[in-house]
Amino acid sequence: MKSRDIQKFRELVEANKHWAYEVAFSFVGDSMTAYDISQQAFVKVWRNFKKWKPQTGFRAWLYAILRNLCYSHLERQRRRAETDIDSVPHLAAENTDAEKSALDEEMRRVVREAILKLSPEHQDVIVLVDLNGLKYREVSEILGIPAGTVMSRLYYARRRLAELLKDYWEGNL
Amino acid sequence: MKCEKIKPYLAGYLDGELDPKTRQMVEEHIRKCPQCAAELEEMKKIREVLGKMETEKLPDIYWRTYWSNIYNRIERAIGWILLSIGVILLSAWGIFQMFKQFFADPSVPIVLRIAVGALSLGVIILLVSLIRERIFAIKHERYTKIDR
Repeated sequence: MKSRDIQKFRELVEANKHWAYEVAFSFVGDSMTAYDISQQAFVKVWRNFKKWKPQTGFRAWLYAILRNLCYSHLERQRRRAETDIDSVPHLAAENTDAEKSALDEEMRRVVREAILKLSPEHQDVIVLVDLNGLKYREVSEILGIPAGTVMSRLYYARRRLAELLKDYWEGNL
Repeated sequence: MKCEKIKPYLAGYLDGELDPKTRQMVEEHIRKCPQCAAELEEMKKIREVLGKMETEKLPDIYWRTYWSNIYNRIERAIGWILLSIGVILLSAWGIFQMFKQFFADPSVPIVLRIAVGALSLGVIILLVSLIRERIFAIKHERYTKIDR
């Protein structure tokens, strides 16, 4: 690998590390796991760096790697949870602040679980637009679909999410 | 315009992604259609909930050491690959020498030679089978096949 490639790779890491972490966090909801997954993704990028064609868009490629790593992690976590009853999260509310914080955390957990129940296409738009604040044009470049499709997918994704969260938010909002 | 045609624009309307003409069209429709107005309210609620899904901030030290961590991971991966190649080659050479001496020794009874030969062949077949199964599992991993 040439030093020019290493320099280019480093620049890409520096420019995208926060974004990679945020995307991974949107899926896994845990800071250390998201940090680790974002780094794993860059190591994968490095391994296939010579195959990358700059015109395809770096974030599109990075996003596909991140999403697959997050899915694999969640799948492993799900398998572990099936065999380990202690891994089921529980709330500890000792005082008002802790209770509020625990409720916020519970809300985030419920919403994240609902997002993971969506189809991969719907997850993509929710994660990129609603959780990472990207514009439709940027999402369209990352996913390789027209901006109009981003909008309609987002509509159906939010509608599905509303159905999934209906019971929860009727009791909590 | 029919509700079904307007509805997908509700997302773009909330996100401020519509051009002025389409935005006006959506606004006019919502004023006249209580069903779509109700759906817009529901969408707003969902966006509000999603807006609370903040990303946990990491201390600066994690970002300062980000590149060096990646560099170390890549360096270690190369180290492990080289180490594994060395161990495999050395083990293969050692096993080959051991077998060569064993089978070349005339004092070893023929039955023992056949038994060791069959045992070795069995181990090789099992190993190849396991490796092939693992490779198949990796290639057909459920979540690595989800593409854009």
